Amino acid sequence: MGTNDTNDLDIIINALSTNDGGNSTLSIGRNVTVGAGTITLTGDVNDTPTILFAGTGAQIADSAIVVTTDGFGVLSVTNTGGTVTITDIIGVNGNGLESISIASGANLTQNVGAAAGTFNVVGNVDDGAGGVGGTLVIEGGDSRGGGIAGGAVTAVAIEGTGTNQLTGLTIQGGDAGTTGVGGAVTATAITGAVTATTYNIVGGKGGTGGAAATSGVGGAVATHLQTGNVISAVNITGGAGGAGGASDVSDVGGAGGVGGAVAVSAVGGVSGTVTATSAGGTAGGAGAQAAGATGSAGGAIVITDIDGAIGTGLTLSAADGSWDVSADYDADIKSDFLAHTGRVQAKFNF
Amino acid sequence: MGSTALVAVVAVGIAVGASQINPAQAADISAALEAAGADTSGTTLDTFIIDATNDGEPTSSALTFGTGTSGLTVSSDGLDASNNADTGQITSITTADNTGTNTLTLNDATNGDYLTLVISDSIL
Repeated sequence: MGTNDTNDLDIIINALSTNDGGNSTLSIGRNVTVGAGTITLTGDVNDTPTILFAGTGAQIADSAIVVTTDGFGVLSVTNTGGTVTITDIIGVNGNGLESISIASGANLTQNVGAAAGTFNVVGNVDDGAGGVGGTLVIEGGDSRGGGIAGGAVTAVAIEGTGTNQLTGLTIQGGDAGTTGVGGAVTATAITGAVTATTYNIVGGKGGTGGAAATSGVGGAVATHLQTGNVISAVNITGGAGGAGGASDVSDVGGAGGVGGAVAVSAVGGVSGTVTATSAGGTAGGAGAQAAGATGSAGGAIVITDIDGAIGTGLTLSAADGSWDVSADYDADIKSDFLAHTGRVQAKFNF
Repeated sequence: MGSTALVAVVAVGIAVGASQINPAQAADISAALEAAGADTSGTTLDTFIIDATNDGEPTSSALTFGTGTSGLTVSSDGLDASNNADTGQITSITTADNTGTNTLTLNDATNGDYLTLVISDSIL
Protein backbone atom coordinates (compact mmCIF):
# COMPACT_ATOMS: atom_id res chain seq x y z
CA MET A 1 0.00 0.00 0.00
CA GLY A 2 1.05 3.61 0.01
CA THR A 3 3.49 4.66 -2.67
CA ASN A 4 3.07 2.86 -5.96
CA ASP A 5 6.49 1.20 -6.17
CA THR A 6 8.37 -2.05 -6.46
CA ASN A 7 7.90 -2.76 -2.77
CA ASP A 8 4.17 -3.26 -3.10
CA LEU A 9 2.79 -6.65 -2.22
CA ASP A 10 3.09 -9.36 -4.83
CA ILE A 11 0.70 -12.30 -4.62
CA ILE A 12 1.67 -15.67 -6.06
CA ILE A 13 -0.75 -18.56 -6.46
CA ASN A 14 1.49 -21.52 -7.18
CA ALA A 15 -0.52 -24.69 -7.77
CA LEU A 16 2.68 -26.30 -9.00
CA SER A 17 4.63 -26.18 -5.74
CA THR A 18 3.96 -29.92 -5.69
CA ASN A 19 3.12 -31.21 -9.14
CA ASP A 20 0.41 -33.58 -8.01
CA GLY A 21 -2.83 -32.57 -9.68
CA GLY A 22 -3.98 -30.34 -6.85
CA ASN A 23 -5.49 -26.96 -7.54
CA SER A 24 -4.96 -23.80 -5.49
CA THR A 25 -7.51 -21.02 -5.12
CA LEU A 26 -7.15 -17.62 -3.47
CA SER A 27 -10.60 -16.27 -2.60
CA ILE A 28 -10.88 -12.56 -1.83
CA GLY A 29 -13.84 -10.97 -0.07
CA ARG A 30 -13.16 -7.31 -0.65
CA ASN A 31 -10.55 -5.10 -2.34
CA VAL A 32 -6.97 -5.63 -3.46
CA THR A 33 -5.04 -2.37 -3.19
CA VAL A 34 -1.39 -3.09 -3.82
CA GLY A 35 -0.30 -0.42 -6.30
CA ALA A 36 2.40 -1.88 -8.51
CA GLY A 37 1.98 -5.32 -6.95
CA THR A 38 0.84 -8.23 -9.07
CA ILE A 39 -1.18 -11.43 -8.79
CA THR A 40 0.71 -14.23 -10.53
CA LEU A 41 -0.90 -17.55 -11.44
CA THR A 42 1.40 -20.54 -11.85
CA GLY A 43 0.05 -23.93 -12.88
CA ASP A 44 -0.14 -26.61 -15.52
CA VAL A 45 -2.76 -28.80 -17.14
CA ASN A 46 -3.91 -30.43 -13.89
CA ASP A 47 -2.66 -28.00 -11.26
CA THR A 48 -4.90 -25.01 -11.72
CA PRO A 49 -4.33 -21.72 -9.91
CA THR A 50 -7.44 -19.57 -9.50
CA ILE A 51 -7.96 -16.01 -8.32
CA LEU A 52 -11.54 -15.77 -7.09
CA PHE A 53 -13.52 -12.64 -6.27
CA ALA A 54 -16.20 -13.85 -3.91
CA GLY A 55 -17.38 -10.77 -2.06
CA THR A 56 -20.89 -9.54 -1.52
CA GLY A 57 -20.49 -5.91 -2.63
CA ALA A 58 -18.46 -3.95 -5.15
CA GLN A 59 -14.82 -5.02 -5.30
CA ILE A 60 -11.81 -3.26 -6.85
CA ALA A 61 -8.42 -4.77 -7.59
CA ASP A 62 -5.55 -2.60 -8.83
CA SER A 63 -3.11 -5.42 -9.45
CA ALA A 64 -2.18 -6.93 -12.77
CA ILE A 65 -3.28 -10.54 -13.29
CA VAL A 66 -0.13 -12.24 -14.56
CA VAL A 67 0.03 -15.77 -15.96
CA THR A 68 3.30 -17.68 -15.80
CA THR A 69 2.52 -20.26 -18.50
CA ASP A 70 0.14 -19.46 -21.36
CA GLY A 71 -3.28 -21.01 -20.80
CA PHE A 72 -2.87 -22.10 -17.19
CA GLY A 73 -4.71 -19.96 -14.66
CA VAL A 74 -8.32 -19.00 -14.05
CA LEU A 75 -10.02 -15.73 -13.10
CA SER A 76 -13.35 -16.36 -11.43
CA VAL A 77 -16.10 -14.06 -10.16
CA THR A 78 -18.93 -15.39 -7.99
CA ASN A 79 -19.81 -12.05 -6.43
CA THR A 80 -23.38 -11.21 -7.42
CA GLY A 81 -23.68 -8.33 -4.95
CA GLY A 82 -21.62 -5.75 -6.84
CA THR A 83 -19.34 -5.21 -9.80
CA VAL A 84 -15.78 -6.52 -9.63
CA THR A 85 -13.49 -3.96 -11.29
CA ILE A 86 -9.89 -4.70 -12.20
CA THR A 87 -7.88 -1.61 -13.13
CA ASP A 88 -4.83 -3.30 -14.59
CA ILE A 89 -3.73 -6.01 -17.01
CA ILE A 90 -5.72 -9.25 -17.25
CA GLY A 91 -3.34 -11.57 -19.07
CA VAL A 92 -1.28 -10.72 -22.10
CA ASN A 93 -0.70 -12.33 -25.47
CA GLY A 94 1.49 -15.39 -24.93
CA ASN A 95 0.64 -15.49 -21.23
CA GLY A 96 -3.13 -15.58 -21.23
CA LEU A 97 -5.62 -17.04 -18.82
CA GLU A 98 -7.01 -20.51 -19.26
CA SER A 99 -10.54 -19.16 -18.89
CA ILE A 100 -12.67 -16.61 -17.11
CA SER A 101 -15.78 -17.66 -15.22
CA ILE A 102 -18.42 -15.13 -14.25
CA ALA A 103 -21.37 -16.49 -12.33
CA SER A 104 -24.83 -15.71 -13.61
CA GLY A 105 -25.78 -12.34 -12.18
CA ALA A 106 -22.17 -11.31 -11.55
CA ASN A 107 -20.32 -8.46 -13.25
CA LEU A 108 -16.65 -8.19 -14.18
CA THR A 109 -15.23 -4.93 -15.55
CA GLN A 110 -11.73 -4.15 -16.71
CA ASN A 111 -11.12 -0.39 -16.72
CA VAL A 112 -7.44 0.34 -16.98
CA GLY A 113 -7.39 3.88 -15.65
CA ALA A 114 -4.47 5.99 -16.87
CA ALA A 115 -2.04 3.19 -17.72
CA ALA A 116 -2.27 0.96 -20.77
CA GLY A 117 -3.37 -2.63 -20.34
CA THR A 118 -4.17 -5.86 -22.10
CA PHE A 119 -6.78 -8.63 -21.85
CA ASN A 120 -6.00 -12.16 -22.96
CA VAL A 121 -7.84 -15.43 -22.46
CA VAL A 122 -6.72 -18.56 -24.25
CA GLY A 123 -10.05 -20.27 -23.61
CA ASN A 124 -13.55 -18.90 -23.28
CA VAL A 125 -15.71 -16.87 -20.93
CA ASP A 126 -18.84 -18.33 -19.34
CA ASP A 127 -20.17 -19.29 -15.90
CA GLY A 128 -17.41 -21.80 -15.39
CA ALA A 129 -19.64 -24.78 -16.04
CA GLY A 130 -20.40 -24.25 -19.70
CA GLY A 131 -23.53 -22.25 -18.94
CA VAL A 132 -24.54 -18.64 -19.35
CA GLY A 133 -22.41 -16.34 -17.24
CA GLY A 134 -22.92 -12.76 -16.10
CA THR A 135 -21.67 -9.56 -17.70
CA LEU A 136 -18.18 -8.70 -18.95
CA VAL A 137 -17.11 -5.11 -19.72
CA ILE A 138 -13.71 -4.28 -21.19
CA GLU A 139 -13.14 -0.53 -21.20
CA GLY A 140 -10.38 1.90 -22.04
CA GLY A 141 -9.52 4.29 -19.28
CA ASP A 142 -11.49 7.47 -18.77
CA SER A 143 -9.56 10.73 -18.78
CA ARG A 144 -9.16 12.08 -15.30
CA GLY A 145 -8.91 15.65 -16.56
CA GLY A 146 -5.89 17.86 -16.14
CA GLY A 147 -4.61 16.72 -19.52
CA ILE A 148 -4.25 13.15 -18.33
CA ALA A 149 -5.36 10.70 -20.99
CA GLY A 150 -7.14 7.48 -20.23
CA GLY A 151 -5.05 4.37 -20.77
CA ALA A 152 -5.63 2.22 -23.82
CA VAL A 153 -6.45 -1.46 -23.78
CA THR A 154 -3.97 -2.23 -26.50
CA ALA A 155 -4.88 -5.84 -27.22
CA VAL A 156 -7.99 -7.78 -26.29
CA ALA A 157 -8.17 -11.43 -27.24
CA ILE A 158 -10.58 -14.21 -26.29
CA GLU A 159 -8.94 -16.99 -28.21
CA GLY A 160 -11.03 -20.06 -27.44
CA THR A 161 -12.91 -21.65 -30.31
CA GLY A 162 -15.80 -22.61 -28.06
CA THR A 163 -18.81 -20.47 -27.30
CA ASN A 164 -18.57 -17.53 -24.95
CA GLN A 165 -21.83 -17.52 -23.02
CA LEU A 166 -22.66 -14.31 -21.24
CA THR A 167 -25.60 -12.19 -20.27
CA GLY A 168 -23.84 -9.10 -21.55
CA LEU A 169 -20.59 -8.29 -23.33
CA THR A 170 -19.40 -4.71 -23.78
CA ILE A 171 -16.27 -3.40 -25.46
CA GLN A 172 -16.02 0.33 -24.79
CA GLY A 173 -13.63 3.21 -25.35
CA GLY A 174 -12.86 5.48 -22.45
CA ASP A 175 -14.58 8.82 -21.99
CA ALA A 176 -12.60 11.97 -22.70
CA GLY A 177 -12.30 14.91 -20.37
CA THR A 178 -12.14 18.57 -21.18
CA THR A 179 -8.35 18.36 -21.45
CA GLY A 180 -7.61 14.66 -21.92
CA VAL A 181 -8.53 12.01 -24.46
CA GLY A 182 -10.27 8.78 -23.58
CA GLY A 183 -8.37 5.53 -23.77
CA ALA A 184 -8.93 3.44 -26.87
CA VAL A 185 -9.57 -0.25 -27.16
CA THR A 186 -6.97 -0.62 -29.84
CA ALA A 187 -7.50 -4.12 -31.18
CA THR A 188 -10.06 -6.73 -30.19
CA ALA A 189 -10.25 -10.29 -31.49
CA ILE A 190 -12.88 -12.75 -30.30
CA THR A 191 -12.42 -16.08 -32.01
CA GLY A 192 -15.31 -18.19 -30.79
CA ALA A 193 -19.03 -17.67 -30.98
CA VAL A 194 -20.80 -15.35 -28.57
CA THR A 195 -24.20 -16.06 -27.09
CA ALA A 196 -25.52 -13.15 -25.07
CA THR A 197 -28.57 -11.01 -24.47
CA THR A 198 -26.74 -7.83 -25.43
CA TYR A 199 -23.41 -7.34 -27.19
CA ASN A 200 -22.32 -3.70 -27.11
CA ILE A 201 -19.45 -2.03 -28.95
CA VAL A 202 -19.26 1.57 -27.83
CA GLY A 203 -16.95 4.49 -28.53
CA GLY A 204 -16.04 6.73 -25.63
CA LYS A 205 -17.76 10.05 -25.10
CA GLY A 206 -16.06 13.22 -26.29
CA GLY A 207 -15.11 15.66 -23.60
CA THR A 208 -17.32 18.54 -22.63
CA GLY A 209 -16.06 21.86 -23.97
CA GLY A 210 -14.22 24.06 -21.54
CA ALA A 211 -13.26 27.71 -21.63
CA ALA A 212 -11.50 27.83 -24.98
CA ALA A 213 -9.73 24.86 -26.55
CA THR A 214 -11.49 21.93 -28.15
CA SER A 215 -11.96 19.13 -25.71
CA GLY A 216 -10.60 15.61 -25.80
CA VAL A 217 -11.66 12.92 -28.20
CA GLY A 218 -13.45 9.87 -26.85
CA GLY A 219 -11.60 6.59 -26.93
CA ALA A 220 -12.13 4.58 -30.08
CA VAL A 221 -12.84 0.91 -30.46
CA ALA A 222 -10.31 0.93 -33.23
CA THR A 223 -10.47 -2.60 -34.62
CA HIS A 224 -13.04 -5.07 -33.37
CA LEU A 225 -12.92 -8.50 -35.00
CA GLN A 226 -15.62 -11.03 -34.09
CA THR A 227 -14.90 -14.27 -35.90
CA GLY A 228 -17.49 -16.62 -34.47
CA ASN A 229 -21.21 -16.33 -34.94
CA VAL A 230 -23.16 -14.08 -32.62
CA ILE A 231 -26.51 -14.94 -31.09
CA SER A 232 -27.40 -11.64 -29.50
CA ALA A 233 -28.73 -8.19 -30.13
CA VAL A 234 -25.71 -6.17 -31.25
CA ASN A 235 -25.51 -2.46 -30.50
CA ILE A 236 -22.75 -0.53 -32.27
CA THR A 237 -22.58 2.98 -30.90
CA GLY A 238 -20.19 5.75 -31.84
CA GLY A 239 -19.11 7.80 -28.89
CA ALA A 240 -21.36 10.72 -28.14
CA GLY A 241 -19.88 14.06 -29.14
CA GLY A 242 -19.03 16.36 -26.29
CA ALA A 243 -21.20 19.36 -25.58
CA GLY A 244 -19.77 22.73 -26.52
CA GLY A 245 -18.48 25.04 -23.86
CA ALA A 246 -20.65 27.90 -22.74
CA SER A 247 -19.87 31.44 -23.83
CA ASP A 248 -18.86 33.90 -21.17
CA VAL A 249 -18.26 37.63 -21.08
CA SER A 250 -14.96 37.47 -22.95
CA ASP A 251 -15.12 34.69 -25.48
CA VAL A 252 -16.85 31.67 -26.85
CA GLY A 253 -16.34 28.39 -25.03
CA GLY A 254 -14.32 25.53 -26.50
CA ALA A 255 -15.88 23.03 -28.78
CA GLY A 256 -16.86 19.66 -27.41
CA GLY A 257 -14.67 16.69 -28.16
CA VAL A 258 -15.44 14.27 -30.93
CA GLY A 259 -16.91 10.97 -29.83
CA GLY A 260 -14.85 7.84 -30.13
CA ALA A 261 -15.06 5.95 -33.39
CA VAL A 262 -16.00 2.29 -33.70
CA ALA A 263 -14.72 -0.05 -36.40
CA VAL A 264 -16.23 -3.53 -36.56
CA SER A 265 -15.31 -6.45 -38.72
CA ALA A 266 -17.69 -9.28 -37.97
CA VAL A 267 -16.79 -12.32 -39.99
CA GLY A 268 -19.45 -14.53 -38.50
CA GLY A 269 -23.15 -14.00 -38.87
CA VAL A 270 -25.39 -12.33 -36.35
CA SER A 271 -28.64 -13.85 -35.14
CA GLY A 272 -30.21 -10.78 -33.68
CA THR A 273 -30.87 -7.16 -34.47
CA VAL A 274 -27.85 -5.03 -35.28
CA THR A 275 -28.35 -1.40 -34.28
CA ALA A 276 -25.82 1.29 -35.18
CA THR A 277 -26.15 4.68 -33.53
CA SER A 278 -24.03 7.80 -33.37
CA ALA A 279 -24.81 11.00 -31.51
CA GLY A 280 -23.40 14.50 -31.79
CA GLY A 281 -22.91 16.78 -28.82
CA THR A 282 -25.17 19.68 -28.00
CA ALA A 283 -24.08 23.29 -28.32
CA GLY A 284 -22.85 25.18 -25.31
CA GLY A 285 -25.01 27.83 -23.74
CA ALA A 286 -25.04 31.36 -25.11
CA GLY A 287 -23.41 34.08 -23.11
CA ALA A 288 -22.92 37.82 -23.26
CA GLN A 289 -20.19 37.56 -25.89
CA ALA A 290 -21.70 35.14 -28.33
CA ALA A 291 -23.50 31.90 -28.73
CA GLY A 292 -21.96 28.92 -27.03
CA ALA A 293 -19.48 26.74 -28.86
CA THR A 294 -20.77 23.97 -31.00
CA GLY A 295 -20.99 20.43 -29.85
CA SER A 296 -18.85 17.95 -31.69
CA ALA A 297 -19.73 15.06 -33.91
CA GLY A 298 -20.48 11.63 -32.64
CA GLY A 299 -17.95 8.94 -33.30
CA ALA A 300 -17.84 7.42 -36.75
CA ILE A 301 -19.00 3.86 -37.24
CA VAL A 302 -17.35 1.59 -39.79
CA ILE A 303 -18.66 -1.93 -40.31
CA THR A 304 -16.25 -3.61 -42.66
CA ASP A 305 -18.15 -6.83 -43.26
CA ILE A 306 -20.59 -9.29 -41.82
CA ASP A 307 -20.07 -12.39 -43.91
CA GLY A 308 -22.91 -14.40 -42.47
CA ALA A 309 -26.57 -13.51 -42.29
CA ILE A 310 -28.05 -10.94 -39.95
CA GLY A 311 -30.93 -12.96 -38.62
CA THR A 312 -33.36 -10.42 -37.29
CA GLY A 313 -32.46 -7.25 -39.09
CA LEU A 314 -30.28 -4.23 -39.29
CA THR A 315 -31.25 -0.80 -38.00
CA LEU A 316 -29.34 2.44 -38.36
CA SER A 317 -30.61 5.23 -36.17
CA ALA A 318 -29.93 8.83 -35.43
CA ALA A 319 -29.50 9.25 -31.73
CA ASP A 320 -32.14 11.97 -31.58
CA GLY A 321 -34.69 9.68 -33.18
CA SER A 322 -35.13 11.89 -36.26
CA TRP A 323 -34.63 9.00 -38.67
CA ASP A 324 -34.27 5.22 -38.86
CA VAL A 325 -33.26 2.99 -41.70
CA SER A 326 -33.92 -0.70 -41.24
CA ALA A 327 -33.53 -3.81 -43.36
CA ASP A 328 -34.93 -7.28 -42.87
CA TYR A 329 -34.50 -10.57 -44.66
CA ASP A 330 -36.44 -13.83 -44.42
CA ALA A 331 -36.28 -17.17 -46.15
CA ASP A 332 -39.25 -19.53 -46.37
CA ILE A 333 -38.44 -23.13 -47.27
CA LYS A 334 -41.14 -25.73 -47.97
CA SER A 335 -41.40 -28.81 -50.14
CA ASP A 336 -40.63 -27.67 -53.71
CA PHE A 337 -40.79 -24.07 -52.53
CA LEU A 338 -38.13 -21.56 -51.62
CA ALA A 339 -38.84 -17.89 -51.09
CA HIS A 340 -36.53 -15.03 -50.25
CA THR A 341 -38.14 -11.85 -49.04
CA GLY A 342 -36.50 -8.63 -48.10
CA ARG A 343 -37.57 -5.24 -46.88
CA VAL A 344 -35.84 -1.90 -46.60
CA GLN A 345 -37.63 0.83 -44.72
CA ALA A 346 -36.75 4.43 -44.03
CA LYS A 347 -38.54 6.55 -41.46
CA PHE A 348 -38.27 10.28 -40.96
CA ASN A 349 -39.86 11.41 -37.77
CA PHE A 350 -41.18 14.96 -37.43
CA MET B 1 82.58 -16.64 17.43
CA GLY B 2 82.54 -13.15 19.02
CA SER B 3 79.21 -11.95 17.53
CA THR B 4 75.62 -11.79 18.69
CA ALA B 5 72.41 -12.13 16.64
CA LEU B 6 69.42 -10.23 17.87
CA VAL B 7 66.06 -11.23 16.48
CA ALA B 8 62.86 -9.46 17.44
CA VAL B 9 59.49 -10.62 16.39
CA VAL B 10 56.61 -8.33 16.86
CA ALA B 11 53.13 -9.48 16.07
CA VAL B 12 50.32 -7.03 15.96
CA GLY B 13 46.84 -8.25 15.43
CA ILE B 14 43.49 -6.66 15.51
CA ALA B 15 40.48 -8.86 15.76
CA VAL B 16 37.18 -7.38 14.76
CA GLY B 17 34.10 -9.45 15.10
CA ALA B 18 30.40 -8.88 14.85
CA SER B 19 27.80 -11.37 15.66
CA GLN B 20 24.15 -11.01 14.75
CA ILE B 21 21.95 -11.22 17.74
CA ASN B 22 18.48 -12.67 17.27
CA PRO B 23 18.52 -12.71 13.44
CA ALA B 24 15.20 -12.72 11.68
CA GLN B 25 13.98 -16.27 11.32
CA ALA B 26 11.15 -17.62 9.26
CA ALA B 27 8.48 -18.47 11.75
CA ASP B 28 5.51 -20.78 11.60
CA ILE B 29 2.66 -18.49 12.60
CA SER B 30 -0.07 -21.06 11.96
CA ALA B 31 -1.20 -21.14 15.58
CA ALA B 32 -1.41 -17.37 15.76
CA LEU B 33 -3.52 -17.27 12.62
CA GLU B 34 -5.80 -19.97 13.98
CA ALA B 35 -6.68 -17.75 16.92
CA ALA B 36 -8.86 -14.72 16.38
CA GLY B 37 -7.25 -11.31 16.67
CA ALA B 38 -4.60 -9.21 15.00
CA ASP B 39 -1.18 -10.59 14.23
CA THR B 40 2.02 -9.05 12.93
CA SER B 41 4.39 -11.24 11.01
CA GLY B 42 8.12 -11.05 11.40
CA THR B 43 10.53 -9.24 9.15
CA THR B 44 10.99 -12.27 6.96
CA LEU B 45 8.86 -14.81 5.14
CA ASP B 46 6.72 -16.62 7.66
CA THR B 47 4.70 -19.75 7.04
CA PHE B 48 1.10 -20.85 7.54
CA ILE B 49 0.65 -24.62 7.26
CA ILE B 50 -2.99 -25.60 7.14
CA ASP B 51 -3.45 -28.89 8.95
CA ALA B 52 -5.66 -30.71 11.42
CA THR B 53 -4.88 -28.15 14.12
CA ASN B 54 -4.67 -24.80 12.37
CA ASP B 55 -6.69 -23.52 9.43
CA GLY B 56 -7.84 -20.08 10.55
CA GLU B 57 -11.52 -21.01 10.44
CA PRO B 58 -13.97 -19.89 11.57
CA THR B 59 -12.66 -16.81 13.42
CA SER B 60 -9.49 -15.89 11.63
CA SER B 61 -6.87 -13.23 12.22
CA ALA B 62 -6.06 -9.93 10.56
CA LEU B 63 -2.42 -10.10 9.54
CA THR B 64 -0.03 -7.17 9.13
CA PHE B 65 3.33 -7.89 7.55
CA GLY B 66 6.42 -6.71 9.33
CA THR B 67 8.71 -4.01 8.04
CA GLY B 68 11.26 -4.60 5.32
CA THR B 69 11.26 -7.84 3.42
CA SER B 70 8.34 -9.80 4.72
CA GLY B 71 5.52 -12.02 3.70
CA LEU B 72 3.74 -15.29 4.18
CA THR B 73 3.88 -18.64 2.47
CA VAL B 74 0.76 -20.78 2.80
CA SER B 75 0.59 -24.52 2.21
CA SER B 76 -1.34 -27.54 3.47
CA ASP B 77 -0.70 -31.10 4.44
CA GLY B 78 -4.14 -32.05 3.17
CA LEU B 79 -5.81 -32.11 6.57
CA ASP B 80 -8.22 -29.56 7.95
CA ALA B 81 -9.02 -28.32 11.43
CA SER B 82 -12.62 -27.16 11.10
CA ASN B 83 -15.40 -25.94 8.87
CA ASN B 84 -14.66 -26.20 5.14
CA ALA B 85 -12.37 -28.99 4.05
CA ASP B 86 -9.04 -28.05 2.49
CA THR B 87 -9.66 -24.40 3.29
CA GLY B 88 -7.70 -21.88 5.32
CA GLN B 89 -8.77 -18.39 6.26
CA ILE B 90 -7.21 -15.04 7.10
CA THR B 91 -9.38 -12.00 7.74
CA SER B 92 -7.19 -9.46 5.96
CA ILE B 93 -3.60 -8.78 4.95
CA THR B 94 -1.91 -5.42 5.25
CA THR B 95 1.54 -4.48 4.05
CA ALA B 96 2.48 -1.64 6.32
CA ASP B 97 5.51 -0.18 4.61
CA ASN B 98 7.16 0.47 1.29
CA THR B 99 10.48 -1.20 1.95
CA GLY B 100 11.86 -4.58 0.97
CA THR B 101 10.05 -7.26 -0.94
CA ASN B 102 6.60 -8.23 0.26
CA THR B 103 5.07 -11.46 -0.95
CA LEU B 104 2.02 -13.58 -0.24
CA THR B 105 2.48 -17.03 -1.73
CA LEU B 106 -0.25 -19.65 -1.82
CA ASN B 107 1.24 -23.02 -2.62
CA ASP B 108 -0.79 -26.22 -2.75
CA ALA B 109 -1.56 -29.23 -0.62
CA THR B 110 1.27 -31.71 -0.46
CA ASN B 111 -1.08 -34.70 -0.73
CA GLY B 112 -2.68 -33.68 -4.03
CA ASP B 113 -5.84 -32.24 -2.51
CA TYR B 114 -7.25 -28.94 -3.70
CA LEU B 115 -6.44 -25.99 -1.43
CA THR B 116 -8.36 -22.76 -0.93
CA LEU B 117 -7.20 -19.76 1.08
CA VAL B 118 -9.96 -17.30 1.91
CA ILE B 119 -9.10 -13.66 2.60
CA SER B 120 -12.48 -12.58 3.83
CA ASP B 121 -11.72 -8.84 3.79
CA SER B 122 -9.17 -6.74 1.91
CA ILE B 123 -5.54 -7.03 0.89
CA LEU B 124 -3.82 -3.68 1.27
